[in-house]
Formats: sequence, structure tokens, C-alpha cells
Amino acid sequence: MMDKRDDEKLRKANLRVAIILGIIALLGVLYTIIYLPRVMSGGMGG
Amino acid sequence: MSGAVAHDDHHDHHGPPKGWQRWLYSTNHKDIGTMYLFFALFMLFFGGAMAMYIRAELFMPGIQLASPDFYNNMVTDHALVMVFGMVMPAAAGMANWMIPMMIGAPDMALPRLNNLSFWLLPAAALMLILSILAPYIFPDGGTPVNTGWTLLPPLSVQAGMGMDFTIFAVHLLGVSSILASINIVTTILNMRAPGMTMLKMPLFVWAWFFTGLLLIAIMPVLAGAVTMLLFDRHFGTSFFDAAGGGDPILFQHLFWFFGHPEVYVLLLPSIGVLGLIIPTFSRKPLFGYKPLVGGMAFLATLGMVVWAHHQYTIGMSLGATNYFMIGTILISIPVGLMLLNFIFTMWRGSLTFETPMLFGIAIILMFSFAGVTGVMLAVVPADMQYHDTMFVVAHFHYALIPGAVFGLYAGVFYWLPKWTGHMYDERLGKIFFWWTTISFNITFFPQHFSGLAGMPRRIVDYSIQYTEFNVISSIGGFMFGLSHLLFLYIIFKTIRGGAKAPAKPWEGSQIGTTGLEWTLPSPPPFHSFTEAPVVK
Repeated sequence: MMDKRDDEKLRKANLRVAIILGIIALLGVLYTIIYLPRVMSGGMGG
Repeated sequence: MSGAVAHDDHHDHHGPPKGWQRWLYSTNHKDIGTMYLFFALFMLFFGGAMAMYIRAELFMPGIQLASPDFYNNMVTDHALVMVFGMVMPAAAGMANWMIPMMIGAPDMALPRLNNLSFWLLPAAALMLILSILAPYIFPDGGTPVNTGWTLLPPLSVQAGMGMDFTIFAVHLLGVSSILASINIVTTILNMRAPGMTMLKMPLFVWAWFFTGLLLIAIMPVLAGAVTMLLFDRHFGTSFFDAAGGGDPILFQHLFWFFGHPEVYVLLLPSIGVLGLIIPTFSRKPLFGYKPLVGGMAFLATLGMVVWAHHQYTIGMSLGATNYFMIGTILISIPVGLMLLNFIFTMWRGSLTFETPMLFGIAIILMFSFAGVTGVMLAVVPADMQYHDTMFVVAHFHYALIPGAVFGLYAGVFYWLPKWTGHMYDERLGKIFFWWTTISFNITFFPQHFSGLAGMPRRIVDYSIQYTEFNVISSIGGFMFGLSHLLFLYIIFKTIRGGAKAPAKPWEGSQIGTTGLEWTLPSPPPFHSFTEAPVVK
């Protein structure tokens, strides 16, 4: 069995990976809404 | 990191909580997996009912049952329900159940996030139901959502209130998928038992690793696109309105940047299931494990850069159409490699034909057929003829029903003894297999011909020359729908009782996998591993 310290280390490692993947997903949304309309169409006109 | 965490002492000495709290507050991967699977089963019948309506409407030329808008609403929601509500949750349910057990982890890496991922789904389903009802229950409900699952503007900007509920449903489904994918990828990277290196993981785990990464890459694009659609509808923006400087074609690009890789999101978990079933019932180790892993990586990567083959008719430049055509045809290389690897696994094996294996072989045959029609559709001048005809409907149902749905059925029959502790009724399983396979082909094979003859898709009525094809198709469709009552019966019969399943219910169980799932009893205990297993 792992002791409490290893457990905490694993919890932090899991959080770290999850946060990195979450940031990638968030950047995907922002890139889609902010950047792509500018280069592919007229953007937020009207 | 390849360690596995031990349980919190607090949880070591008790079973699951009792009553509704067990399910609502659950952080247990098996319970959440079960909820995903039951949710998918419910949605299978919900989406299936819409398919039955569609086939009833198309049984004869003329408008028989409801308005054209309602017909298109059913076409739209049938697709959304089956893709987001059935196939993806069912695959996620299997991932939840099996991945921690396969890699020797005590649970998923982020159990509370896992709970949230699941409980977003019923809310999304409610939104989808409201999207259907909105035109009838709200005074200014407007027209039904009649766009098809692609939700293309300008039609989607003009549609009634139901479209807003659809957009919210897509948001919730997207968030749920992204959170589930983050959890699965993190679990695979961080929670493997000592000695379970990446290249020892069962193919199903690899398949979900790539599926998770794909979802994290593509789902945000769909979420962004439908958010922009919502803004165009209500907040005066013109992202997709040419009159305001926007471009409706932009939405097509965004949708298909999501939509084409989504096909691989649906297919990959089933390919992972095949990677276990074929060696198990051939009693031979998987042929070409590393090429299969590489093939899946290649498929996922290439699948992300060929989206515009869905849009040849919008008038792209010659260079762009050539690029998308060649890229699409190249996809047949990793897919062909995978199917050949499965065939070579069977070659000179000691084969038996239990229900999962029957589904496995049927998938190889029928999915190859979808591959052939896929190459036909990839060729630009040919696609100009096939585009928006029933030929496309036949193609993607051959890709998705054998490729994704039959893979899930195979997985259900393969793992049902492990999940429930009981063997299912093999005779009924085989009847279900033949019933679904034959009726599936009766339903969709004629649609190739009606499509080639020019019958358009997404239109409620048709010319009388297509009648025979549609009558056959509808009869097959009703048989296909009916077969699922047997599926339901088999599942509940197995849950309620039956012959006791051993830890390794199949003779080739251990040959079929490099994972640890068969080291646990059937059904596995509430907490799978009380100590981190060590893989030698």
C-alpha cells in the first residue's frame, strides 16, 4: 500500500495533468471564437 | 508514473452506500460505468423510436404521419441522440468499468469529476427532449429544429426556440465529454499499476487514450461554433451571416472539424473491443499489437485534417479539394491495417463463435463495406453525384452501426459475465446477433441503390420510383428495431440470474488481453484492488 505522502503526490500529479488538458480545451474554445472568425470571415460585424 | 494509489482507509471496510445516494453521489468507477451504460440503453430506445418513425414515414411515398418540419426534427434528434446520447455514453461506460481494472488502478484519477461528467448527461437529455417539445409547449416556440445534426446556418439561425435547447444540450454534452476524456487520459497516464507500461496496456485502453485526446481537441471547436450560433441568434452578431460580414461556410468548417474526427471517436473504442475479442476467441495473441497502436494514432491524427470532404459541393479551390480527397483516401491505410491485423489474428487460430466473436467477424466484413463506399464518397467528381442522397445515409450507417454499435454489443456480451457475475444465454445471444445483422442489412443495403438512383436524404416525401427500395428498407428497419427488445431481455435476464460466471469466463480470456481485468472475480468487488497489483 502507498503511504499518505505518495497518495498526495499522486493526487497532485493527477490534478496537474487534468489542468493542462483543461487549459488545452479552453484554448480550443477561445481560438474558435476569437481567432478563426477573423481569418475565415468578416467576424463580429452587424 | 506507474504506481497505483491505495484506498483511503475510510473506504476499505464498507460496501457501497445504500439507496439512491449510492448512485447520485457515486465516485465509484463501476457504479458510474453502470449508470453510463443504462443511460445509453435508454437513449438507444429513445433514438430508436425516432428511427422507427422515420422508417414508418418513408414506408410509402407521400406524407403519412406528421409535418415535414417534424420529420426533419426527428432526423436531427435521431442523430444527436444516437451519437451523443447512446454511442458515446456506452463507450464511456465501458471505459469507466474496464480501464481501471485493466491497468490495475483502484479507481479513476478524478472520481468526483467522473460523477459530474455522468450527471451532466441527464440534464442534456432533458434539453434535447425540450428541444423537440418547444414548438408545441411554448407560445412563441417557432419551427422545430429541422436542420439535421449539422445545425447549419442560416436555417439554424431562423429555427424556433427548440434550437436554443439543442445548443444548450450540445454544450452540456460537450462539457461532459471533455471532462470524461480528461479523466480517462489522466487515469491512463498516472494510475497504471507498477509494471503496467504503456506498451503492455490492452488495446481497448489505447483506443480510449486516443479517443480522449481526440475529444479534447475537437469538442471545444463544436462548443465554440454553437456558442457563436447562439450569439448570432440572440445577441446581434454576424459570425455566420453574410449580410453582416460573416460567413455561413465558416460554420460548416467548424462543424466538420469536429464532425469528421467524431466518427473516429465513435469507432475507436469499438476497435479497442475488437482487439480483445478477436484474440480471445481465436485463442491466439493479438497479431501486430504495436502496428495497431500506431495505426490508431495515425487514424486519429489523419482524421483531424480531412474534414472538408463533407463539403466538396460548397466550391473550394482545386488545391483544397485535391488535398482533402487524397487525405481522405489515405485513411483507408490505417483502417485496412487494423482489419488485416484482426484477420491475421484469426488466421490458424482455434476459433469458436460465441456471440461477441460473431459480432467481431460481422464488424470486419460490414465495416470494410463502409470503407469501400467511403472511398467512393472521397472522390470529388463522384461525390458531386452522391452528395445529399440516400447513398450517404447508407454509407454512414454501415460505418457506424457495425463500426461503433456492433462493437458495443460485442463488448456488452463479452463483459456481461464480468459485470454481473452471470453468463448470458448464449442461444439468445446468437439469435440476437443473426436477427440484428440480417435486419440491419435489409434496412440499409437498399439505400445504396435508392441513393444512386437519386433519392435525396432529409426529405419527407419521394418519387414513386423509389417505393420498392423504401418498403424493403422500412420492413428491415422495423425488424431491426424489434430485435432490440430481445437485447433488453437478455441483459435483464443476465442481471437477474443465470449460470455463475468464473473470474475468466472465456477459455481464451487471458490470451485476449494484457490487462488485469480477469484477475478479479466476477462480479468484481466494490473496490477493485485493495493493494496495488504488480505486473511482471
